[in-house]
This record gives sequence, C-alpha cells and structure tokens, in this order.
Amino acid sequence: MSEGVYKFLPAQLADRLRGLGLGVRKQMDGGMQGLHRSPAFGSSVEFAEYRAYVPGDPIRRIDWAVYARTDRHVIRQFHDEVNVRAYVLLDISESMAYPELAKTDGPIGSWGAMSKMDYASFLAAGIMYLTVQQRDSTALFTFDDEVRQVFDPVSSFVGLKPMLLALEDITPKRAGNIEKVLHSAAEKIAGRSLIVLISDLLQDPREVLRGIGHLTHDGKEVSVFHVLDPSELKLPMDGLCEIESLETREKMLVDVTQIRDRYLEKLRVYLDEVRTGCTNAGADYFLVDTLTDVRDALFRRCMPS
Amino acid sequence: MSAAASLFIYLLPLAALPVVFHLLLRRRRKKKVFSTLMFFHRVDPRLSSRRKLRELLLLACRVLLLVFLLLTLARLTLHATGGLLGLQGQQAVVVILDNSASMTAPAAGGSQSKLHLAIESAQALLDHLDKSAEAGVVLLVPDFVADLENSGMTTDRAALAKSLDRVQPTEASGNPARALTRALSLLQSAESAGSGTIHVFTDLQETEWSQPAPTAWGDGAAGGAHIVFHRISGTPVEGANVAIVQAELIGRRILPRQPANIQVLLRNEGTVPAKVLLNSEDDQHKTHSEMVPLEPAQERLVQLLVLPESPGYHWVKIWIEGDSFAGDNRAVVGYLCENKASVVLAGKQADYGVLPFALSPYADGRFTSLQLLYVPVDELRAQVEREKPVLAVLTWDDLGKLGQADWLGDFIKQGGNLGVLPPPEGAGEKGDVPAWLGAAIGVMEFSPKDMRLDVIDKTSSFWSSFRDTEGRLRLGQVFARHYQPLQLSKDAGFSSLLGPGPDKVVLATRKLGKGQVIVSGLAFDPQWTTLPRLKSMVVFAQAMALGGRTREPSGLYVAAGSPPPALLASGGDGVHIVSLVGDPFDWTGVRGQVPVFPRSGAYSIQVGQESFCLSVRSADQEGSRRFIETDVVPAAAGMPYTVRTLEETDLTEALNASRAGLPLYLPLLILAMLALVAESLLGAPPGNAKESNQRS
Repeated sequence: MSEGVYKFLPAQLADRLRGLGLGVRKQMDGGMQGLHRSPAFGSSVEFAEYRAYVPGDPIRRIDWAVYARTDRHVIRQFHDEVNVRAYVLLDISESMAYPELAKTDGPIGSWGAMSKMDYASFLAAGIMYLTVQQRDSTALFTFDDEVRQVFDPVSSFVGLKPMLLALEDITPKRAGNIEKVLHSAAEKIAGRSLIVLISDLLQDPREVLRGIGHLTHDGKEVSVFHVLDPSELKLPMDGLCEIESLETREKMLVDVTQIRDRYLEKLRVYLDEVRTGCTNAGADYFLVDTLTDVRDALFRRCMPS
Repeated sequence: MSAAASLFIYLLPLAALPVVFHLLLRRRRKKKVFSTLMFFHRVDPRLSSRRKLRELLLLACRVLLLVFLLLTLARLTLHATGGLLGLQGQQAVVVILDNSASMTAPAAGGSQSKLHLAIESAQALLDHLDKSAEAGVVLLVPDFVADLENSGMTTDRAALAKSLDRVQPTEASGNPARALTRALSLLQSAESAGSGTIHVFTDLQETEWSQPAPTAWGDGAAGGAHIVFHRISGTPVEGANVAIVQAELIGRRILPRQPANIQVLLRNEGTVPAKVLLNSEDDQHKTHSEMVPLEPAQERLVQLLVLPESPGYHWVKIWIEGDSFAGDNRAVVGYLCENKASVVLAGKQADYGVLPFALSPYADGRFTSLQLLYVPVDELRAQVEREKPVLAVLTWDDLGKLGQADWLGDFIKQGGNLGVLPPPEGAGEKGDVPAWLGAAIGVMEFSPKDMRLDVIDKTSSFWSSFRDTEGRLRLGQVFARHYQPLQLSKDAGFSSLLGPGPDKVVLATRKLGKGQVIVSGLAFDPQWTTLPRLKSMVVFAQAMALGGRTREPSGLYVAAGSPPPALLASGGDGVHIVSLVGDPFDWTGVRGQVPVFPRSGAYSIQVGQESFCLSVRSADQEGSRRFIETDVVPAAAGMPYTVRTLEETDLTEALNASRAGLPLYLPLLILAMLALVAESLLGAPPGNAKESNQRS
C-alpha cells in the first residue's frame, strides 16, 4: 500500500496499528487455516481429546504411549485453527454526519475534529486493516435504514482496496434503523464470525439490543464501537436554542442551560442501558468519542479482556 | 368613570415599557443542528413551553403592575349608573316630559306635583350626562309657551335647563305617538344617527298610553334607540271629580244686547256624589256662580247666559271649584258678536201683529240690534239681495204672489231665515206657495173657547232659547181662538212646534240649507192667540230672526291637546291666530300647521276674509284615574323599552350617588400588589422552579 492513498487508512495509522492483533473469544468458522480456534477438530498443536481407535483411522495417529500404559488404542485429537471472517457493519445514517459544519449556526459545540462518520470510517478501516494483517478475512456492510453496500470477505490488502475507497465516497443522507439492519445481517452472514458494529446507536436501546442479541444468538462474536461526538456527551452550550434534528428535521425550542442536567442524566441512563445490554448479550461494547485516538480506540478492542 | 389626576392616565403608555424591554433585551434564539432530539424528548418537551408561558405571564404581570399603579395614582372613580339609564359614553338622550293635565296631580309620597317631580328628575338626568353627549327635550303636549317644538339636539346644558324651566302645567291630553316620533327624529338628527335612549317621565295614564302603537313602528322603527319609562305614581284620590265635557254657545247669530246661551256639560268622573261650584266670568266682568250637584257618572247640562253689549270678540271663562282634580275644570268660550242686523218684512206693519214690536220695538236696532224694513212685495227680492237680512217675513198671501221664488230659497239656504204667517184677517187662497217650502196653510178654524196649544216637539233646537239653567222649557201657557192648521210635507223635515195636537200643527220649523223656515198658522195677533201677550213672544221673535246661521261655522270648539279643528287641519291658506284670553299667542302661518293648544283659552282666527272664534276647554279625559301599573306600554309596542317606577327622590339620589361614584383607589392598589406578588413568584430563579419540578 502506498502512503497517502487512502483517506481513512493513512500510512501513519497503518504503522501505528502494526503489532496489534484482533482476537476473538468464541470459536469461529473459517475456511482457511488461521490463528483462531475452530469448533472442529483439526491439525493444530492444541490437544483436544482422546477417542478410541476405529478401523479406518490412520495408524500414525494412534498414541502409542497411551497404548503402552493402558493397552488400548486411542487416537489423539487436536482443535482445528481457522481464520476469522470479520464483518464490519458501518452506520452511515444521517446522524453520523454530526457535527455537520454547513448548518446555520454550526453544531452544538463542534468539539470534535471530525464528524462521527469520518471517525467511524477510520475505525472501520483500521479494523479491516488489522484483520487482513493477521491473515483473517474481512467484509464491509454499510447501512442506514437498510443495508446499502456489501463487500464480500477478503483476506488480502489488494482485496481491501475497494472497501477503503468506498469509505471515502460515503455521504450520510438517510435516517437509520439499526435493529432492522442487524436482523438482516444476521440472516445474511452465515456461520460463526466476528461482527464489528460501528454506530452512534441513536435509537431506542431496546431495539438496538434486540438486533445485537440476534447476532450473538447465532454464535457470532459482536463488538460494538459506540461513536459519539463530545458535544453529544457534554452539551457544551447555554441559552435558548432552536435545535433541529439531523435525521428527522424536527425542531425544538429548548433552554439548554435549564435542561442540561436532565439531558446528561438521560444520556447516562441511555449509555448504561446500552452497555449493560451488550454485556448481557455477550457483545463487547466500546464507547468512544471522536476525540479519542483511533489507535487507542482499536487498542481497547485488541487488549485481552 | 373619571380621574382626579388625569396626568397619570396620559402616562399609561409607559406600561408598555416591559414589553419594549422584553423585545429589545430578550435572548436571541440560536439555531442549532443536533444528531438527535431523542434525549430532549426524554427530558420533558414541555419545559420549553412552560418557560415561554412563564415569560409571558411575567411580562403580563409587569405590565399589569405598571397599569394598576398608574390607575391608582390617577385616583379613578367609577360612575355606575350609566348601564341602568343608558347614559354612558357619547350616547344621545331625548327626554319626553309628560306635561299633560294629569301630571298636575300630586306625586305619591310628596307634596309636589307629578310634573314638578318629572321636571326635577329630567333636569337631574340631563345634568348627569357626559359633557359631549347630545340631548333634547320633547313635550308630550306641544306647548308654544315652552317653545320646545323647534329645538333640536344640543350639548348646551344651560339651554336645556332653561327649556325645562319654561315647562308649565297644561290642561291637555298628550299624544304619545307624536312625542315618540318626534323623539326618534331627534335621535336620527344626532351624531349617533338614531341610537340612543329616550327617557319618558310620565304617569302612564291609560287614556294616553294605552292607545296602540302606530303600525309603522314595526321591526327596526326604533333604529337602535331604547326607551326608558320613568313611571311617576300619584297620590290616590277618592273624592269626586267633575269635568267640563262640553262648553259651547247654542248655534245662532249673536248680536249686541241679544242674550245667548252657553251650554256647559258637566260629568262626575268620580265614585262619590259631587257638589261643585260652576263659575263664569266674561270679558265684561259679569260673573256668575251656581252650585251644581252631580251623582257619580252623571252628566248634567247647565246653561249660562251671555249678553254682549257691543259687537266684536267676546269670551267667557268657565271653571269648576270643589272637586278633587283641577286639571279638567276649565273652559273658555269665545264668540264673535256681529253688528246690527236687518229684518225685511213684506207689506205693512199691520200684517204681522205684534211680531215687529217683538223683533225690534223701535225698528231702529235699539235693544235688539235688529232693524226692520218694510218693503212692497215686488221689491222684496231686490231688498233681500241688497240688505242680506237675517230674516225675511211674508204673509201666506204675499208668498203666493211670488210664485216659485227660487231666489228666496237660495237666500234661506245661504243662512237666511224666513217667516211665513197669516195676516190678522186670515190667509186666503191667492196663488201657490213655492214647492221647496214643503208646507201650505189650511182653512181657518174657530174655537168657541180658547184652545190650548202644546209644544209638540220639545227636542227642537228652536226651543233652546226658552230653556232655563236646568234645561226646562219655559214657554208659558199658549191658547188660540183662531188658527189655520198647517199642511206639512212629510219629506220636508218639519219640526212641529205648537199645535192642539200632533195631528194639527199651527207652528213648525225646518232647516233649509244653513237657514231655517218658520211657518205659522197663527197670526201674532191677540185676537188669534195669547202668545203675543206672553214675555216669551220676544224670545220667540228673536229665535225666528237669529236661529239660522249666515256664517258657518260660528265657532270652533276643541279640547286642549286635541288636533286643530278640521277647518284648520289641512290646506295651505294663510291663518292668523291671536289669543283673546289665556296664554298670549299671536301666530301667523298656514292651515295644516296650526299648533296644538295646551290650555283653555279663546282665540280669534282669521282665515282669508273669514273670522272665527276658537274656544279651547280642558281635556276631560285627563281626570281619569286609571294608570298603567304593569310593565307593558301599548303605545310603545314594537320598540324596545323598559319601565321603572320613579319615586320622589330615587332618581336624584341615584344620580347623585353615581356622580359621587365608587373610588377605585383601593381595589386598584390591591390589584397592583397582587401583580407584584405574582411577578415575584414567576420571576424566582430557575433553580427554584427546577426543584419544584423535581418535587412534582
């Protein structure tokens, strides 16, 4: 990969990501030999169990040491190790465009250096890069109220190129429906695989968690990157504001000073509900704001939990 | 409502300062985009609207605080009677004052008359009006003395007060329809263009106000006006009330030194017997008084004798004393006494017995104002046409010589009198009498002894001069020795005066046009009858001469307040009216515009070349004691009205109380304090509001 070609995977980021590995806790289904344990038995070095010899088994696999001690023919079985198919589900709904600088008086705060969409694109590119780097395969789904683009799993940097270029062409312009998309993804993605959901999750938490539950129920390992702008977390302004929703264009006149405390309280309850829901569903949950360094955010996922 | 310190009223616009500050200093609304409103919805979307509402309430409180403070400092006073009487604002007000005769009775509970109370109340009402309000006064009985008929709506209170001061009691009956129409037209001429209030101060006497309203007063006739009737109750009267129902001269020509009778009809309107004193006084200072008893509801005709000494206008005042209501007790009779009149007799004096002496003893007009002229029969026509006598006298024989003599018939039809009688030697058959006469004379009859002649038709107007003050016929006993019965045509309409019996008439009279014909079968000779020997002979001769009318009418008679007589009611001829007695009045105008006469009096009237006398008596129906006690006034049906009873002092007190008004200082101060408290509560720091929200 030549330096500076991809907007969301610059060379500096790629360099900083080297050395990180993307692990999974669950057994994965993979088509190729890889680093990750498979539920099937295979030819890895990791012992799984003994079983009685049956005619037809290769004689070379008889554990003669056990035969010497027990006078029985048993065969040693090993876990298979396969590669991982990591599916990145990237939310491209209009709320991800926040903070959008082209609006009337500007977004609230504008603390973040980039929009949530850009930040999420960096995350997606990083994850896909990490995946391919460790010889796993990766795929990309973009969605808003339905799945918009699907890139099949690839395991090479060459195959990664269209996805990286596609990230640069994304323009959020529709309202999102995360639950619907997650249900749809659970239907489309077969087998046990890694699902990385990158979204602001600005939807009823119960609906989002129903979608995540569907994925985990199918045996998929789900990691959720909950991307929010710092202004969404702090509401850093005062006074009377006419606030317009990016997705619905609905307007509301509020005194921010007056309602900030209650807003933050409701936000905390919301985040707690999402975090708890993800934990209960067996999904990894990472709340990141757009001021967080992308490598640091990815590093949190790569750390052994 | 009035303000003692109106400066603060002018400062009221300062109350808008909070609004100005609010607009200038309010926080600007910033427009922001955000990823979602999810959390704002969860917070409580009503918070913003609550805040907005609180801001508006706070603003309103501050404005109200300033308004109440300024009004408090202005020391406002509330005048609350406008709603009841319709006096608020710039409304036009017309006062209808009932000045009819019934209003001269004392008001209930007080010593003053109903009219006095009405004037005082009207004055108080007008004083209470706003300075710029237009007002007008209408009298129920138009009174030229008060001179209000040509006045319009004005804001000049002094002029209105003077007008009310000129209002005097009348003896007339009012016309509510005319007064209401006049009041409505005044309202129409006001700036309010018809809307306003008509205040009627009246006793609501049934004879006036029970008359149904004109059909023209349908929907919209009031034109936005509202009528308030202020009913003035009177003191109940139980005594007798005698009214002069009629006072007229008996219809005949009046000559100097010729007695004439005035018939005065009295009626007792009360429920108890009455004994009243009937008085009269004429322009020659002749007075007369007599006591007249009357039972309840009884009518009585009384005759008064007048004897003018000279030609010209004369009058007689007649009034009653001794009853409970004086408003209907007066009458004035005016009459025109003509100069000397002539009587033409055909033939010689000896042909008529004592008749010439009874007509004029000296034949030159002394004593009776009648001059006698004797002319040959063939010159009779020329003499009659030249002299226009009041009476032409012929014998039956001479009349037969004249043939049909249509000119003589025309003379009678134009008001002349004709006497036809037999000569002392008796009437023979010398030709046919004119057919228009309707009578002929029969053959002479002799009676061995004097035959009594009776009055056959006692109701004939010919006998009116023979009646005494109680109406009894005073002819005396008349006997006859010779007579020639008359043959009267049934179609001629003769009234039989004397005769031995109804089937045998010797003296008869009939009207022919404006004049009268007297036919006699008796010669006025002592050899024929005893009539010449009686004092009644003089009266008989005068009745023959003056019974017919050469002028029509000889007099006009109306009740006060009634429309002018038909002779003056229409037409465009010039009329000149001058009062003889009563209210001073000198009016020149045209027929159809003759005013109503509010009080008894006598007036000379000149219409073209004709002169008349108008006699006005008090309105007898004003003595009626029936008043509308309910809230329904038929005369105002079709128009919006209310009826309230006016006590002697309540209106004045109410208006005075309203003038004093209710001071609003304390209520406004309390309201200002309440506004201040509300402002303090609403203006509390948001933290307090938040805590209260959390508690809720």
